[in-house]
Amino acid sequence: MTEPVIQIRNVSKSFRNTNVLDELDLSVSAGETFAFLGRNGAGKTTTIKLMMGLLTPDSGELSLLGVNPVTDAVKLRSMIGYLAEDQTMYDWMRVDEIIRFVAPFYPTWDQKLANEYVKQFALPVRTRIKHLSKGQTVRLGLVLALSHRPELVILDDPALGLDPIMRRDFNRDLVTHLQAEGRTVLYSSHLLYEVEAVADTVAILHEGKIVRTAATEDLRRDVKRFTLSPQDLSKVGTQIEVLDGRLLVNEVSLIVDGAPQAAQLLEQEGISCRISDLNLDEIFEAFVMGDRKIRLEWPEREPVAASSLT
Amino acid sequence: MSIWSTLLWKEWNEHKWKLLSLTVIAIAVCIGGLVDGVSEVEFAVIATYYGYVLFAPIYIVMGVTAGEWAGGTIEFSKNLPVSLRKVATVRLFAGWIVLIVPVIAVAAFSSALIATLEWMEIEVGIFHSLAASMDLKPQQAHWGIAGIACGVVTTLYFWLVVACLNQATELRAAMIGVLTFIVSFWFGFLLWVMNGAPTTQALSLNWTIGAVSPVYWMVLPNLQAEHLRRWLIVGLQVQGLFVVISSYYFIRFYGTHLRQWNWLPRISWPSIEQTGPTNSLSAPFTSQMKALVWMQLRQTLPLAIGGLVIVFVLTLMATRGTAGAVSQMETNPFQIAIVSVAALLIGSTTFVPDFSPKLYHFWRSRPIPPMRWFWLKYLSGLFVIICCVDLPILILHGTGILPTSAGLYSGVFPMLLHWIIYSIAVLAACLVRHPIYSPVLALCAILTVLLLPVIFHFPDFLSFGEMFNAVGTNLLPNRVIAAFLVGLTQATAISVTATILAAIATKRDINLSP
Repeated sequence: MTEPVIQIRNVSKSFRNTNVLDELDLSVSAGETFAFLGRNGAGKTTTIKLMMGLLTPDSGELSLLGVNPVTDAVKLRSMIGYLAEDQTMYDWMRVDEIIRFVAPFYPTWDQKLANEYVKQFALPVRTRIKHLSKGQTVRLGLVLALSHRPELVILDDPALGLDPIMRRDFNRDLVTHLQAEGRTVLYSSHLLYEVEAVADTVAILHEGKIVRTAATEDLRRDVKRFTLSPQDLSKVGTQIEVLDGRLLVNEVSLIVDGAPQAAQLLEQEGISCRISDLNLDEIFEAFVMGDRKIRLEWPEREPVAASSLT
Repeated sequence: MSIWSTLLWKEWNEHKWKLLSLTVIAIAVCIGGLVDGVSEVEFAVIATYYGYVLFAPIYIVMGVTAGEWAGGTIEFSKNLPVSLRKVATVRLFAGWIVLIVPVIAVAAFSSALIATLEWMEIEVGIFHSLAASMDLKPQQAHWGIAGIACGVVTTLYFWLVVACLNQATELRAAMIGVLTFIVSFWFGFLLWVMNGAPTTQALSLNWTIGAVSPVYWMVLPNLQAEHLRRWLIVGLQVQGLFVVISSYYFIRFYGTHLRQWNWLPRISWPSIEQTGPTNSLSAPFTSQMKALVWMQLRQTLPLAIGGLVIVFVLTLMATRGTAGAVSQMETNPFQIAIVSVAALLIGSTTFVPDFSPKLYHFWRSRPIPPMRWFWLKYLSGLFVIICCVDLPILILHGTGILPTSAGLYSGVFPMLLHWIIYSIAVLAACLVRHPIYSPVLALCAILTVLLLPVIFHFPDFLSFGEMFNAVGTNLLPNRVIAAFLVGLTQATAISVTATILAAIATKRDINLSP
């Protein structure tokens, strides 16, 4: 089995009294497009800064491409393609100047490839960065991140601030240029629909912990919405892992992790229910905002709630 | 909360630490001047005002004129449901109040001291004799001088806010501020030479174009009762008119458009060499060092030009003044002082922009070795101060273009002083990473390092100031050389220590930003 490209073990990080990451574990395999999802403030950028060696963990171990970012950050940065959210560059430089400036720091820099990207992205090479549009700035960042043919590309919410069409184009570029070349991509975002189409694996970060990691297809298969009657729910009790439960008119809507097992259980109990698929937005919302406690309280409340509703 | 009180609240929060730091520094310098005896109060007060006039207006104006542009908040202010002119009005006068309060605080402190001394029946030096000659009480003379100091900083402030309006960075505002100060000083110097005591006709010029000239009146032999009376009657009216016109200009044009300096990088040779097809990239740099040197060259060019302009204006001042002017006034101390301010500002603000969070994240997340980045930046700033300012001045003195009575060692000493100031300013910038707080911290550290040994009578070999004095006096040659070598050792020790600490702060990302 090959060594993971990114390996994070039990990493914790706090700022003053705020615990941002709490014994985080993460592993990304070679060639994977890994979506790193979380709400604003969940700890995504802190994790990426730790990966880049821009922060030091309070505890735990990190390894990217076999290099420890704490001890060998500069070497690691030369091996990674990195595009930060809302990236600011030296605004007095022109497009060609910043490429010219950045190139010698990457031993594997391919100027021909950079030229191709510049033409493909229609970047005005003699224009100062401060005069570029938001979309052009993101694309320039992508040129800087990819032109040294990095094995690992880290994109930290790169499409933040772009309009939907630009975001779609950006993701298309990403798919074209990275997945086709078999590179490993860690894509951090809170806009789920933009990673849904491109991600092989999804990790959901919530309050400093990874609450779920799975292949995108597995996640869609495992997490589904079950709609059944409150009376039926009381029969299965705590045996179903509910991420979110909502009371509807004469019905209970449950988002369940482990949908195949839950469906089997309900079938054994002779309970009929409707099962519907969810998109990644709904799955994410259930993990980070779902009301899990409702599951334990429901059976006791059920007779009163049901009668009052009917 | 009304709009005005909301805007005042915002300005108060932006300025409160500046106000506190300036007040503490001013009173601390004043107390420092009293160590030789409380009866030296007039010396302490006037020295404090002199230093304050030199630094504080530029320091406050940096934030008032360029702070919102540099911080990227100007668009937010423009989009507020309030006229930008109201924002500008509050900003303008809040800055002025912050500038004036420390002067009044020093005056109040010294006033209390004078009252105590009078109660103890101790004669208060020149204040006492001056008061007798002018038929004034010492307290009245003292407050008159405080009034002159307020007038000088007020005029300078309003000149500077007009000259530095809508600059993109505090550094640019500071450089323009230094040049404006020099020009103002020059006019004031000529007016003083021509008129001595201000005539009524010259009063308008004294209080406007020659903004700094009234500081000479604070030198008490030049101060006469007539000065104070004329200032109160006519000077205040002239100054009032000037303040109104300057305020109108600032309020009318604040935030309207950024003043670009695009012409500066365009004329640099690295740009000229990059010709070729407009749609393809030129060849990348062949080494990391070349790339970093190129970047520093581009960033340093405006500073180098600014430095040469300072030298040009200083030379003009000394050579094109009224006949005999130079003999009436020693221009060397002013040159040293103004380049010291420039060294402080260059040291602070050359580093600070690259420490702004987003840009810092950009270059730090690249495989750029931070130590290489630091040393190149440090050396390029030092190059500007030494090679574009100090060395040309030394050469001009050496060739006789600039008049001098000082020897070579005395001529080199300002370089050592500026090296110390620059290095401490760099340390403050790397630790605090803030365009406003860094210079203040640096100023405190510089005053501590340079003045403490003088004030508390440390052994001479520990005092840079004493060595500076020693090489300027007519000592035996071997004693001058010894003093120079001791001064060189001190400067090296202080500068190297500060620089190494700054490098460590950069490498380890030690950030004490408030």
